[in-house]
Amino acid sequence: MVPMLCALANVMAWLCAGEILSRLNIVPVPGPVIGLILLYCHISLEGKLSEELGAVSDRLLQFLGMLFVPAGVGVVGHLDRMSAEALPIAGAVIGGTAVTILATAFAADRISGRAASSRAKLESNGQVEVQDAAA
Amino acid sequence: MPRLDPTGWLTLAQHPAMAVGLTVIAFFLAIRIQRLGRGSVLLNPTLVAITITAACLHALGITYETYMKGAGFMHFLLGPAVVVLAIPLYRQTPLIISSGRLLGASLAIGLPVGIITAVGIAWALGATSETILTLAPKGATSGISIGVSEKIGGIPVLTAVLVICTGVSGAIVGPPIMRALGVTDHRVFGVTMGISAHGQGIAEAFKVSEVAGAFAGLGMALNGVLTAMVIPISMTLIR
Repeated sequence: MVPMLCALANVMAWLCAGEILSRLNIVPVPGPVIGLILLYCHISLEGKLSEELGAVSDRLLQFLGMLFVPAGVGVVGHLDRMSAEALPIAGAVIGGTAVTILATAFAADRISGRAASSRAKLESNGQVEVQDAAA
Repeated sequence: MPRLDPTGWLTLAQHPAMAVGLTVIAFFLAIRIQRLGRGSVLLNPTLVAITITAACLHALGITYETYMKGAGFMHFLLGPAVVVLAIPLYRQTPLIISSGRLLGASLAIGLPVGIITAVGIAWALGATSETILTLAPKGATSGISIGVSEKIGGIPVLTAVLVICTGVSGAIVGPPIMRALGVTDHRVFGVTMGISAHGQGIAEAFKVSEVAGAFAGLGMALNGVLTAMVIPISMTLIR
């Protein structure tokens, strides 16, 4: 009971700190994100994650999809904007996402390929050229 | 039969029990509906729950403002939910270190391309500046992007829905694009899905493997945190 409250208090304390820093405009970043970074630093400095804090996180993140519903319902007030700007919105959402996936996967694949081939180089010095030629 | 007078009805509609209750039941039904639809990404539970809730409010003649007085509590929980994203990130710290180059390269490309394509395509197709600002943080997970949208002058509620649409479209187009590119590395698949399609991308990645899922989680969390810093900071620099 008490350790659980302690974990909750921990999360809320960093959220409050994040909101304060965000409002003070020292860093123009949303409060919860500052809270996330502060909590990460806090756990890293402690060097271990308490079981209760892990449980609080797992429970809360399990229902993350549900927590977006109240905000999402607000879209009914913007349906006229959505239909007026349907083309740019759909283009950015669908086209933008497809291009992002293409670019990210391409970059990541090249890096992972290079890492794999340099590992092959480390493991077997002389045979790399043969492997490359085969590929 | 006893009847509620109009003011009684209004106070009841504002009560958290009604608003939160409606939202939770709508989400429960949405999960059931997705199961009936064999887990189709198009039947995203959040989008379905939004539709059910909005339809109920419309049928009952309750305004969004009235509903939000009760459901505000649930919306508030997004704050702590974003803070606790630190925990999965902390658990995966060894993975961040061992795959630093892969994650770094993916983020160095995925993050700017995500923002620039969203803003650029919307601008080129004639979107208003408010809509462009609403779309800019679409690559970050909803909890974060709503905050960014608020911070830079977008429409947070619209961002919330468009972020989910981004996730859904990413989950649909991502796997065929990566097949076409010949991606075989599960880490690459995961990190790409996490960076471009956040929550829904993670779900797709877990269908491939545990490794892909873990990298998707990392991609989403790191992309979210960095987007929350990059967009507002570059906005203040431009102004």
